[in-house]
Amino acid sequence: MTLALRLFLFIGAVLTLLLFLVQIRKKRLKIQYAIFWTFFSFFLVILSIFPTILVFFSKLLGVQSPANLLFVLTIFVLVLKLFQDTLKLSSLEHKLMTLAQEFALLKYDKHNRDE
Amino acid sequence: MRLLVIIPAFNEAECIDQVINQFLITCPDVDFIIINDGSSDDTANICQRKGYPILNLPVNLGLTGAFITGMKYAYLNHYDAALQFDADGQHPAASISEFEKYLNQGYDIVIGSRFVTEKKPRSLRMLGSNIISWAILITTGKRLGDPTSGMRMYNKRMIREYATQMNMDPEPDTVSYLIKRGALVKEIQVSMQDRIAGSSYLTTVKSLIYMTRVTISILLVQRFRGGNQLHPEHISVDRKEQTI
Repeated sequence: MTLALRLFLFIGAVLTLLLFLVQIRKKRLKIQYAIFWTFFSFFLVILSIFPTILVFFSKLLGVQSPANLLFVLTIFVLVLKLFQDTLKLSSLEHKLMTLAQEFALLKYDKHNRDE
Repeated sequence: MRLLVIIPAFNEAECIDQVINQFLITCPDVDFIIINDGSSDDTANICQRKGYPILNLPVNLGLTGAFITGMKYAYLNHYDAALQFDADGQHPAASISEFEKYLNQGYDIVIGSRFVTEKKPRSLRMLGSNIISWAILITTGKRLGDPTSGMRMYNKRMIREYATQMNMDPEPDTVSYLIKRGALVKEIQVSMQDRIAGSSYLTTVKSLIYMTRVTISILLVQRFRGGNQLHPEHISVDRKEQTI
């Protein structure tokens, strides 16, 4: 792997880490989600410092370029994360609908009682 | 001191009545509120029939969401202390007065621990508990024998934190965060019973994931959280004892 790619990975990983740390401080990120991104950016930092890990596995799996292996792995992890987020989104949509309905029913009840 | 006992309940129809009955016999003068976390069983009906105070959440929020609902209730009604109490009969109501004693001495959080005087058994779950204890020790310098115990009493300023701030969970990582900010924590020995019926929030499969999440949170995430330093409001607490 070229030095430029390593440097690029390293800076990218460090920036990701900084981004989520700032968001936690600003109280805009829930910790359960921050943990995934910590892992992810830590992993990237480690790979950028020790690229031989990638070289070893790309030889083992017969992948021509270590960078290709990195892309495949990253895309795979992100697809899984996206799917998990979609599951979460579905559950949130359902909960939001239930809450709005409950709220409307309560208001209707209260309105009828007031009259 | 006005104390509110917060009892989160998710599908506890089989044991809620027995637990509340026992609670009322042991502490008839203590206010309590059941937070029904969107149960699909008879939990709400049983409590309403018996006239127990209950808040019904229309959707399932999980233990944190349910507990914070109780904390908001405590905050809005100006309670001085709040205790998290299991709906499945694991927590001993008889120990509540001892919790209050330490809160009155100036502690912010009193934790009912299984392992202050008793020895920790060796099991996979206790290994997880040990790892969490160790993570709290190296980040805060405070030794907690039973960090995952759910029986915790909080004072007024902790109620305010829980009711108003984001990322406040009734979990060990939040406790470590509060210790770092200067909260005084006391662990006292309690004897926990086996749950009467139903299954726990934490199944054995999930406890490994739980342990990993909490440990990473304590070691890597909690220390970067903001928040002003809390200062002791009463001086009666011996600071030396705090660090032992």
